[in-house]
Amino acid sequence: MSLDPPTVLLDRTFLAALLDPEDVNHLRAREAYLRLVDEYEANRLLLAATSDDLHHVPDAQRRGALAPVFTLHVAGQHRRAAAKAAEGVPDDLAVPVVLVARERIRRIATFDARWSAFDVDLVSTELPPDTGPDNGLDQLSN
Amino acid sequence: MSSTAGVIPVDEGERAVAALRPAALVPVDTWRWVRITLMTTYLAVYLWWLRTKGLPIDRISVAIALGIFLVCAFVGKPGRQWAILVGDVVLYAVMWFSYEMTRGAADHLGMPLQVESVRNLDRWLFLGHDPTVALQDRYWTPKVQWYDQVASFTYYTHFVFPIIVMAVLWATSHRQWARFMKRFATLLGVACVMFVLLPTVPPWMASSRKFPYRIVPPLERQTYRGFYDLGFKGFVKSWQSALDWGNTVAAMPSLHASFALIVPAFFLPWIRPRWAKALVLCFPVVMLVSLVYLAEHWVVDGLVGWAIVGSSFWFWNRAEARQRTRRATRARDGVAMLA
Repeated sequence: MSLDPPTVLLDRTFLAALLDPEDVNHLRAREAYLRLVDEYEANRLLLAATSDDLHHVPDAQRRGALAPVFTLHVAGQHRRAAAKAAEGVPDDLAVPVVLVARERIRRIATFDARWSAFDVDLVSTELPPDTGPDNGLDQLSN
Repeated sequence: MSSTAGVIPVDEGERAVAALRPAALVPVDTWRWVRITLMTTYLAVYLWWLRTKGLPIDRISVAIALGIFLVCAFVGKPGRQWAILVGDVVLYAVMWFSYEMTRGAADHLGMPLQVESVRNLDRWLFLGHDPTVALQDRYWTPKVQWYDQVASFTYYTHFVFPIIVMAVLWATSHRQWARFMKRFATLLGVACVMFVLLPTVPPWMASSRKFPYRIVPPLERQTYRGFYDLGFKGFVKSWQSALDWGNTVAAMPSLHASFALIVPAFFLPWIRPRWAKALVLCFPVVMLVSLVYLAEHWVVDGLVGWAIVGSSFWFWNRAEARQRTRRATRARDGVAMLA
């Protein structure tokens, strides 16, 4: 049993969609993120992103839109473990998979369909019915 | 799966990992087992030391014991976590050193000594009776009774209970450790201010023929006897440093009563059944009754200590909620600016 609220990992595809208004998934990311922020404010969850994914985020956005997000620092031991991950784990997902395992993260906000193959809960990115034009994308999860 | 704009497709070869737990796909964290083994060994050695040499009581011995535990708990963790730990330890040491320096100096700063005022408050609360006198008249016997063992043992948990909680939180959740330490440090800070402003004669001193006060009948002060009767003893080493300073008039507030409340109060939100909440809250009550029976504190000392704990929680709970709201507001504003 953890004393902390459950952590939601915001992966690079989600961050990219959230922070780029031109991204096709921006509207979905924004709506999902605002719901997560409400839950964060109510102390029902924590928001996290890896140091690798946050590395290129401008300071203004880090302190602004991503203010509630804490950094999961990727250490050398995580990278070494990622290099030894099971065959079939995509190279670019290996480090996040290691962190998800080590930090016992159960929920991920992502637009990467590969995460649906793992035993984790994906944050719904479905738009509310009264939101503007849909991008016509398949849903990753409900 | 066909490629759809904005969705990264899943290759057929990657379907083999479907529905597997991430923990099953990455190497086992062997350092975790090393830490568990070291901490288990530490616990065994600590219990052996407790039985053979006594319970570490003086500040430096406790700090050394805690330091060894932290090394066991952090072996193999990333360097960044070690750097954070070092910073935390420095702050922790500064906190205790400041507390001991203030506590040690408080009774030399010339503030008027409270002799009868606190005792009178107790008598007002208890309809003209002195609770310590009443308890000892009724229950104290030359032969150690079971309640002497309970009272004495409870008294001595003060020297380990909060430290154990700090150590466990330090090892398991830095976030929760920081939350606990904010509340704990606030308690110590307010207590030090009160030690300076309201140096207070405790019941044993108020009754002792070695001092001129003698405002209550003679009381027994054998805090250790129940603990010793159970086969335990205290381990106190004089390090000839400021951390050895005592202050016999630092009765108000009672840190024994405060520490006994701050730990269950911190964990109360995670305890679900009401009966379990009530049970853990019995501990500070048992501590206060023990302190009064053992003539270590007036009842009011404990009540004020509890009030400080409550205030500390009220303050920090609000501060943390406000911090979450500030960050959430910045997030909403930041997202709005992206549109």
